Amino acid sequence: MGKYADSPEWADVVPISQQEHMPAPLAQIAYTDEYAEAMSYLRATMASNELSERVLALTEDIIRLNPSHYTVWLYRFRTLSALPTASLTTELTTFLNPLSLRHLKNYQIWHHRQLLVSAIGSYEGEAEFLVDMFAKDAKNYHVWSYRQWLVRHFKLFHSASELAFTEQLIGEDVRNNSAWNHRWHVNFADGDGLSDSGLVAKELEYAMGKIELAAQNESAWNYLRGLLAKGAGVEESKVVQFAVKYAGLDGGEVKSTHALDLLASIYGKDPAKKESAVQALELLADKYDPIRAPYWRYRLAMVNSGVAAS
Amino acid sequence: MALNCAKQKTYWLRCLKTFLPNGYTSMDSNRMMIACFIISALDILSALDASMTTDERSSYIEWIYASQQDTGGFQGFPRTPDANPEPNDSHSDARLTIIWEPATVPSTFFALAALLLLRDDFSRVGRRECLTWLTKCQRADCSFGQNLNDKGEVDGGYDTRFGYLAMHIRWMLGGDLLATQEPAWPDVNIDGLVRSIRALQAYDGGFGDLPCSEPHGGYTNCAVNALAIVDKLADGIPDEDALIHWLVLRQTRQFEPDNEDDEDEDEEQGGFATATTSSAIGFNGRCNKIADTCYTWWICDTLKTLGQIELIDKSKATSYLLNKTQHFIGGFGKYPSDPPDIYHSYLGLAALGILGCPDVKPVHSTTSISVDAVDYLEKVIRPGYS
Repeated sequence: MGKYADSPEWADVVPISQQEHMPAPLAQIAYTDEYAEAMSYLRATMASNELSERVLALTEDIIRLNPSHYTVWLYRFRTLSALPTASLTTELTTFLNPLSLRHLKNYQIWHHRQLLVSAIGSYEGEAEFLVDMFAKDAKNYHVWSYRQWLVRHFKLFHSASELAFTEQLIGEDVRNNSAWNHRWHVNFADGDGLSDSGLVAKELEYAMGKIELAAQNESAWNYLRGLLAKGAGVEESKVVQFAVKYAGLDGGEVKSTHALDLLASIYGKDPAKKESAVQALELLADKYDPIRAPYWRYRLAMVNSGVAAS
Repeated sequence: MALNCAKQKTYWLRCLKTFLPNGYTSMDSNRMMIACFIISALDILSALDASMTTDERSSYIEWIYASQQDTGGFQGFPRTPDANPEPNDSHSDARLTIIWEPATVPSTFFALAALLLLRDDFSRVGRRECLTWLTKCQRADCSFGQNLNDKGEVDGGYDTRFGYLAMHIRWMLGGDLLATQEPAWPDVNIDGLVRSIRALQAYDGGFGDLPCSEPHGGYTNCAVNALAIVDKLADGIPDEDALIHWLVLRQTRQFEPDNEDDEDEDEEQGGFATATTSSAIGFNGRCNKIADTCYTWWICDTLKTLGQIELIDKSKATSYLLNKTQHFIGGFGKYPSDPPDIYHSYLGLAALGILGCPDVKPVHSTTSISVDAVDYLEKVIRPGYS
């Protein structure tokens, strides 16, 4: 009894039920009858490697019940590729899009999407769909990873629309680290951007502008530190001048632990500034960031022994 | 609060002996991983022997072996029997199902780890077949994937999970020993894998899934532990100071989802977590995210592998697990007051084993299984390979 057992369309198929092989199996799951039945028909079509319209319907059923089953997705893609009537665009828009919006944390959905979009050869409509995804979770790792794949696959480095998109998301949440990372990806992942001192200077200004909005935002400080470490033509003195506004030593006002941290790194490399580095690290350990006290003391020991850490 | 050992054991015994709730259907193709977590958790709690009869232990071992493929490796769920089996041919691979039930890198790692925990002697592991198959799971760019398909292509993601697991399979099966024998057995490309991992360190010090991707606690852990098990930490980490910096910055007192009025709410609002009264420190997996049980494992364990676990306050990291996410029915939730699930319960327990909690066995940093089990591998299994 069941959807498949009662269907004339499936009457020719002998279902294969799950075998545990042993009296005491491991990790047995209480399946629903619906899932157990559909899987028993899947085993049968997989056994004969049937690639057909009804297999598309069957795999759709199973994916809806368990979107994490990896071979079902691979089997579905093989079936789609084998059927002359199957439309990959329809698969994308009418099947995958709504499913993706329901199952936010899933590897297989995004792998399937990459296969489809590679085969279609166009990213038309992708940015619009991803807006809906990011509205559900603006920090979803799978979605960002997929977006970075689009950038690499379709060579969208330095694209104005990609940069505008990061600007929009950072505007909505200045602490969205994924958006910050994507900005780096678009600007610098092609390898040329970091040697362009004009671009690096522009990004430095961008990061500083965002720090002014939220002094304790780790994402923006990390971006700035990355530019200082890897970018061409960044004047360290300019960065120091900026950071001291957020981290006054000698009793001045401290607005950001990240500014203290950065100053300690820069000062720690200069024997003449050792006292300032020590002061910044002591402020972090004792007053402003005690949850990381063991780390700040480790940095302090390095500065005192003349081995500067980052 | 201490670890509630009795409830923790009850939780895992229930997972071992009864059907897992329907919600675990999403793990249906990864049952080998769940199986390994259940056995390993009971081992970490020193409760494995008391949890099963001799017959049950044999049955569990047989169940794992039943997922082994003649062409090497294990699949993640019970094999579908041949619809028309040849008489007396219980393990024919000349079946069409094999196309869609491939051995996978994760399932092979978890099967071998579970066999070790059950003190199997590996005598029935197709060692050379598995190591040969493993070399084929490495792509031209030297990353590893999930499985090999019927056309000989590598399927699955490109991230560090697969390289991490592959290097541990190679170690468990003594691939490193075979590679130095004459005639040398085909080996994976270690230098290539190290290069591919080295390219993953991001501008802020952590490692992401691909070059220039956002750093993530899980991928960072897999990257570092893959390098550690092949003794290539120095070659694979471009900037260790930046990595350590990124790891310690993952400590946070933002514990509650959708609730910014946390005990140290100022951190989110632009102030500082200056209060020293709270005894708990959690870990996030990415910058500007909240704490989650599993990242206490991923981050602390990475520091442990790097020899830098003392850079965090272990008692406060322990307090987060015991007082915030330990559940009264046993296990651990993802966030405070979440119901327990197998993944977070296992990694919470493994983290306690890294942090030196006296109620659990010491846990080996690159594998997440007990130091006992790794000793058995090193002292009993691996010497048998030479």
